[in-house]
Amino acid sequence: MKAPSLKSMLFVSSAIVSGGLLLWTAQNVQQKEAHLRALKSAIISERENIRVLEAEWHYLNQPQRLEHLSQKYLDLVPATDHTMALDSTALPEITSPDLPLRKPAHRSPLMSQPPAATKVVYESSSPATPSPASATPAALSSPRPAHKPAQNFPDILKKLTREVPE
Amino acid sequence: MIPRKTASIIRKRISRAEFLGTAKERLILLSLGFMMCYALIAVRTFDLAFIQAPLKGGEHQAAYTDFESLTDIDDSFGPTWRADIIDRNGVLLARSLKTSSLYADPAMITNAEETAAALHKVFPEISYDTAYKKLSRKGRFIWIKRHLPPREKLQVLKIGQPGLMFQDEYRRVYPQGALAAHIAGFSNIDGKGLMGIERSFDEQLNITQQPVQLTLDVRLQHLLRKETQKAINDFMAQGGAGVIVDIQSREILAAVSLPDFDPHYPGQAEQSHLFNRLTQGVYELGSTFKIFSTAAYLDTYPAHKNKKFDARKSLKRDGFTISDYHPEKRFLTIEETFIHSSNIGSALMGEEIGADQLRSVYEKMGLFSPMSLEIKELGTPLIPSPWRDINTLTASYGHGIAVTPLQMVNAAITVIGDGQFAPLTLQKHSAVKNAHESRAEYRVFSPETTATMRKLMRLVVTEGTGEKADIKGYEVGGKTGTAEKSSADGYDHKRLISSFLGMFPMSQPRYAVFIMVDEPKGTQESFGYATGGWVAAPAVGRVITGMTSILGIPPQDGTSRHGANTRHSHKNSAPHSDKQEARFVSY
Repeated sequence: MKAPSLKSMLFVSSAIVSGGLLLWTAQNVQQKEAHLRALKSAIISERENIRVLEAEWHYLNQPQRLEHLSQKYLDLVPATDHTMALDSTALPEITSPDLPLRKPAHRSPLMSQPPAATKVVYESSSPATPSPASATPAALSSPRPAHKPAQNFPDILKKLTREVPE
Repeated sequence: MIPRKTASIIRKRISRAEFLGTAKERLILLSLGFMMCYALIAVRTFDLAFIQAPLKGGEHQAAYTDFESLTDIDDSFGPTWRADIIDRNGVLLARSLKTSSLYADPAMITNAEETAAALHKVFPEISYDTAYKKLSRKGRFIWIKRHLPPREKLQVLKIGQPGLMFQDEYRRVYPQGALAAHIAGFSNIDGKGLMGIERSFDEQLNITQQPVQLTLDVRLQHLLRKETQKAINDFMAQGGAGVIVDIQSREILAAVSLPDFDPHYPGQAEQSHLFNRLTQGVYELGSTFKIFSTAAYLDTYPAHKNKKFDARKSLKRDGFTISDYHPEKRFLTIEETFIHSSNIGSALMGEEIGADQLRSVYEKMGLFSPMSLEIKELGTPLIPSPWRDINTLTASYGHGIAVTPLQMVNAAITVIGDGQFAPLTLQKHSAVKNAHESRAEYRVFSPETTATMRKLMRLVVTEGTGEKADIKGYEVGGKTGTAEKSSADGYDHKRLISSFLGMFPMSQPRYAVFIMVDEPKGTQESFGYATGGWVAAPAVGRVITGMTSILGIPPQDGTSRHGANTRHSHKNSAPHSDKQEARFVSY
């Protein structure tokens, strides 16, 4: 039997190689398409879930529901024309930082008392009284049950370290 | 020469060799063909076993592998749904959510009796007979039940009947419930809008995925609804309506008609609850019309500012008698006529203006034709036809002419706002587009008339019938309206339409608040009165109070209740100018 010529061997091998490459490419395309399909269906399903959750969020945030919940659980009362100021410059300076307006009794003892010179604005039914010493106005609504008397710093340290500090 | 016999043998041999050769070649070809087939099968088997299998198995997990690379994905794929309706702050008023609906292909149902029994077990409301009839009919499609909850869908899947199939559908939900039911409206099970914005924007909602943004603010909507309902409850009324309008942009911020309904179940609502009293109902609104006749008078006769009208006794014209509710029995200035809401004075003004001029002004304010608004539930005004002289007199104080409350509010805004008529709107236009440019507006009253009318409106609240709407610091102005409803034998003194139209701040009016109560009954607290000043004015006052905090509107002047005390409580603060201190209200 005559040995196949170099030419035909080259021909056959290149056919095999290109066949293999074709298969490899086709497989890759199929894989990517399957991946894409999966991603798209996942996106559609996620998007649908988000739409449902958004609708639920707006349902839960119905103004009448929020009003009812705040009346039930919060000490806050609606602002009225009594509590509206023309502009912020008309208000006494607020130097006590970042705390919502509330009764002095609710202030954490861990926070140092403001220096005497500073002015604190409390929500009150009477006009603002800038001096903290005299700032014990009646709350607009009944206050929450008093917090447990908070421990002072040495006590906390003692609890944490189980050692008596000096 | 080869003998014939030999020649035939040779030929046979040759043909045999040829034959064998051909056969061999064919065998080789055939086996090559088989080999190719086996090779293909082998390759495919390898592909399925080692390449595709892990891929298929991992398809579900693959969904989340590289989600971060998906940021640039567009919205062009996936199902389409009916667009949302949102309020001015983006709060959802209506949205379509995906649900599954069950249908059957009767040709594929293997056992109709058994399936019908199983369906009846899952859905007790569908009787066995109904189910059986549906499953055994001819055809390839029949709805069994629309919009199933997931639990019921699972139960149906468990029946395992191949003829029962699901189709994804969208169901309209209204997260705010009845809050804006008359404006947002509702649509039927097939997603066709039947009322309100759902109806008028039906095509747009179905074609585009872009939400329709309204000018409503659900917070104000809730406030207005709550206070209108309170007025209705307090005075045991039949119903009511209310609206809040931004005078500058002519945007409707809140619009209610009570009683209202749950848009999820409009079929269960009474017909009267579906009726929009604000835009559909036409009423004789009474004294609020004096805003228009007084403005028309001031505009027609600017020189007659100090004229007095004889209100000493009832006015008799063409066999009709016009009298005052609270007779002053003296000559009244224009101011007094307005503050004391004198029918006689207003009628005399109308008479002096003349039918043509009064009609022309009313027409310019849009009181003679249905108003233009983005919803289709709009009432047509009832105008006397033919218009006789007496109609000019009665129309001056709001009788003998019936319009929708919203039309009246729009006309009053024309007078008090800037003297220009412009249509009200429910659809929020983009911020880029200037609302003033896009709307058709024209001047009806001179700026002088507007300025005088603002003062008169303020006086009604400080000294007249609208005192209960006064919110200190906000310069509320307004006009009460109390009209008797007409019945077969003329006007009924006991069936009233009591309303109040408030605007604030009167120095530069920004908001109009209107509340109307239908057939209120006097109470002990109101000393038996059920007039606009007793019924609607306090409700408008409460709405304005609520608006100040919701919208964060600062008081306009130093007249607030605690203004005087503030100076004393201010000793320790940094020195402010006197002006600032006077403006400081309280906190």
